Amino acid sequence: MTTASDVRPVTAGSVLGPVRPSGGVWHRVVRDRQAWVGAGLLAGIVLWALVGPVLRPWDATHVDLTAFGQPPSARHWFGTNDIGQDLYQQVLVGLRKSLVVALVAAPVATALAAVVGAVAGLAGGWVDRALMAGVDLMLVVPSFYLLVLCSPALAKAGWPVLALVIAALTWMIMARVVRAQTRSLRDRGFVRAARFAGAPLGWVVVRHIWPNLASLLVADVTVGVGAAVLTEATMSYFGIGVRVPDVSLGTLLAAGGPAAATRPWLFVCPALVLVVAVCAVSLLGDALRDALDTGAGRG
Amino acid sequence: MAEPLLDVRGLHVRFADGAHAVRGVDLQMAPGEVLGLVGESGAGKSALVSGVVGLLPRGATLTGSVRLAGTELVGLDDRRLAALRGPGVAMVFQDPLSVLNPLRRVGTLVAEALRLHDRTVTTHAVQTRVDELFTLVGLPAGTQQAFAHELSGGMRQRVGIAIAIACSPRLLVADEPTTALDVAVQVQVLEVLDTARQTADAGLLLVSHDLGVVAGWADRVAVMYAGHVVEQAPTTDLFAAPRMPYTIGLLRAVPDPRAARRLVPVPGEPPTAGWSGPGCAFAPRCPVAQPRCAQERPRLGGDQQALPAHLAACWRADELVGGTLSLDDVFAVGAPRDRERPVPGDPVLEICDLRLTYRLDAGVRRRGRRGQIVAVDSVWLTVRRGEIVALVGESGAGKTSTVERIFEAVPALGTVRLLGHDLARTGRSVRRRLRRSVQLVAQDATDALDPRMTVRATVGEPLLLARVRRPERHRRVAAALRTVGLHPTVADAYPYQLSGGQRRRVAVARALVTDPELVVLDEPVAGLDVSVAAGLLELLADLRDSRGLTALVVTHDLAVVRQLADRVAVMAVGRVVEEAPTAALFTAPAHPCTQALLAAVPVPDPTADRPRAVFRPEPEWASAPTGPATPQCRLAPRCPLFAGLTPDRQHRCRTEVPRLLPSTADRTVACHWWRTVVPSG
Ligand code: SF4
Ligand code: SF4
Repeated sequence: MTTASDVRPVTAGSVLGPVRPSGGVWHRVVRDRQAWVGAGLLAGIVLWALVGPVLRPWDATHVDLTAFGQPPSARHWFGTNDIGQDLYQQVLVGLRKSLVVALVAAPVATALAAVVGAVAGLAGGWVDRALMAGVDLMLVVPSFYLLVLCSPALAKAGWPVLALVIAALTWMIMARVVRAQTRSLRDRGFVRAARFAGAPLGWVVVRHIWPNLASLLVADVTVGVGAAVLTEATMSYFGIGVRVPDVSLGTLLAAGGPAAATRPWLFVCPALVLVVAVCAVSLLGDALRDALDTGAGRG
Repeated sequence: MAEPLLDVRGLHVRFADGAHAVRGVDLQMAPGEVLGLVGESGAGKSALVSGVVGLLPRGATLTGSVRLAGTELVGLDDRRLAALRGPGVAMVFQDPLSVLNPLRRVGTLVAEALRLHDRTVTTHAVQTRVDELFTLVGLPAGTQQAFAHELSGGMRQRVGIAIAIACSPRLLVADEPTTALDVAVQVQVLEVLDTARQTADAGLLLVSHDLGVVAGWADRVAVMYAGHVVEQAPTTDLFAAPRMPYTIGLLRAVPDPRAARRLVPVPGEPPTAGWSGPGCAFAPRCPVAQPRCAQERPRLGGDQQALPAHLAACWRADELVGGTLSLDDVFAVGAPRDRERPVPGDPVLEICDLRLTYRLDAGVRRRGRRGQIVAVDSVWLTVRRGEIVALVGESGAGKTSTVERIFEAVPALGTVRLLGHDLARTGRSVRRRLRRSVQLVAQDATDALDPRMTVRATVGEPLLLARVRRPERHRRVAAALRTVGLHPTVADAYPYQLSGGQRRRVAVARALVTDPELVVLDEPVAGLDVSVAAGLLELLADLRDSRGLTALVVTHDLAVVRQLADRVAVMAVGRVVEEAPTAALFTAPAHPCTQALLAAVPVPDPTADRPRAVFRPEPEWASAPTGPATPQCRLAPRCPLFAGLTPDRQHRCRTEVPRLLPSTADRTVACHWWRTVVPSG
């Protein structure tokens, strides 16, 4: 029999038993069916947007003199518009543009919100006040009016600028949310511990604040992608986003809208594609958020 | 036994989530008896008492029999049960704030409790009874007009007791009634509870995790483990001759404030609530388990003739009684620590006359009260290399503020010197380096671990900050985990997968990983179960002995201090009032405040004197003394010594702040009159 004094002091406490790790976020995502559906759908859409054009002989600007304003058929899967262009190819071009714009705009907006909100919330003091004053200013400026004023310049600048403009218009609310969450995290033991240990502000933001807001941020990106597609569509609809002859889902919807009653395919086809794309992103985002939430909520 | 007051037979409690919390409990209480119910968290204590008083949450099922003075309670509908509450059973809760309606004056609440069970009483009769009750629980009549949140924790608990005994119940059930209170207040509340019980001639079922409280107040004790009562005996018998290995482990895991001793951490962890198996629930952790133990469950048995009986649920209880199996065979106590350690080296931390005030007018309350809160008012403290110093005091004494000063730049007067550098005078880079040489283990380990980070990342963070490269980092993290007795697989776990004790150890590992000069531990074992706490205390003492750990332990728990510290500084109302080597301080406390604190500490030994309330009852310490104070000893309102002084001596207490002066070679005391009278036992 061993007595406690035989045990080497340093392990006098019981050697506490092994723990079975439950795997990280990615394991949970991988096991989630919804994540697969969302990811599959999104991958499918992107793939289709890229390789879809080769499936048909036409290109987007080709004018088919034998088919003006025809409904969907074997020859023109999505029908044609009034001047005989193939809507299938047009939707694909529009989808590519819309996706690219949204996939850039949403992460940029969230990133901006994450940086500004976390820094403001963690730093406090005048940094906080200055940043939040900036946010409030941007919230009250009538953005749409500004856009109309700048639209000639925008039109020349191309889609990257358009994406950044959309991001710049939509990040403010999230920045406020991130700041509020950060302020409550700031008083948590692990954040204080890191600061006691001399961790600089950026370190704490990257290693402690963002991971703990991950589900919020991921949700915001997904909501943001959907919203950005719609914002772009709205802007294009009003003629301040993508301009003819360039095509996006927004311009297509704008063009098809008036004809929705008489030639519904002009509106329904781009609208359906838009809905499916937004759904795919939302599904994936939901699954990601659930995976991120597991465990952390109990932690 | 005449007809028992409470007769529980074959009681089972199952919760909606499938947890089987109480698994067949038999328990009897005689009228007027105090039965202590002890056990660690998850043992089923709370479920058992909730079942007895009929306060189980929705979805929980209760089977078996609970008879209160002959009336069967199981199966009664809510209305009949409610009628029994009050005159039959009454409950004192752990946190009275959560059960006292915040919108009513506490006097009204007590009156309501009276009316609820007798709607015919006159207003006048109710008022008389309320006055009586407030006198009984020692609350001044003025407090009847107060709201719950305006009262201190001890006063609230007194209100809770007044409500409970309002209808003169036959049985009082108190679930951890003093867990949230300071020792001095705890004693007062327990005394009030006992007086109230005697006045109402009720039985008291006292649920507590604190063996000291149970030893001091209970006539009999029942020990619970994994939903079973595993031992039940008169208090003195149970403490003197336990007959069940778990009880033995429990008793040997409790630190004793009278003397430091080796603690025995019970290995392993209790089974989860979903556990089921044919054998003794303690078998996986029992050092003397036999093959039979895992197959057949021992029943609670023993000499039924002797009254009150000493019953134990263990196959080897007879051997323990007969002496063929000794207590040391079950859980051997290690050899006493070698107290002859090398003399502590240079000072690592020196705090000289630290004063901290917070302005009240900061922030939004700009137009409200102006003034200052004096959080710390003259703290002197030195920690030398290789020693563990305890900073002890009641809540609100300024301990936390003092510690924060070491880590944060809070405006303060006085100096804090780390490794010989004055923190206020060093440049940024030196300060950063100094900071890394001090590590803090926060009280709430759950809060201190980032839920998003694995244990490896959390423990390794200070190394990463110090730019230690990856292989080296992993090696040191693994070593630190080994040091604190954690299995290597813990490195990949997330905090939510760990138990409370494991989390606490991770926090300690994180603090040790950089080989700091000084570790500050804030309430290192608060909220941990006895056996888990024992492991941690032993670990810290081992670290001191084997690798010269230097630590400042901040706590209110004097048993922990006795167990761990080489020297103690006692704080009260923002000042250090006495500082001395641990043994000297505990055997001959000099300052009246130290004496009062020590007298109030519960001792896990029923033959010892019951703790006493030497401090005068409420008002308790003003939690935030407001200044600017006129020079005086701010302890005077509660000082037991002060009350017996002659008026001219009292005058000195009132007009001169006592300074912390050396009394003997290694002791300093801050009191004008500590030599004059020593209040006798
Ligand atoms: S019955 Fe066996 S396993 Fe259970 S406590 Fe007794 S000796 Fe240990
Ligand atoms: S100075 Fe006076 S009031 Fe203060 S502790 Fe000593 S005797 Fe009590």
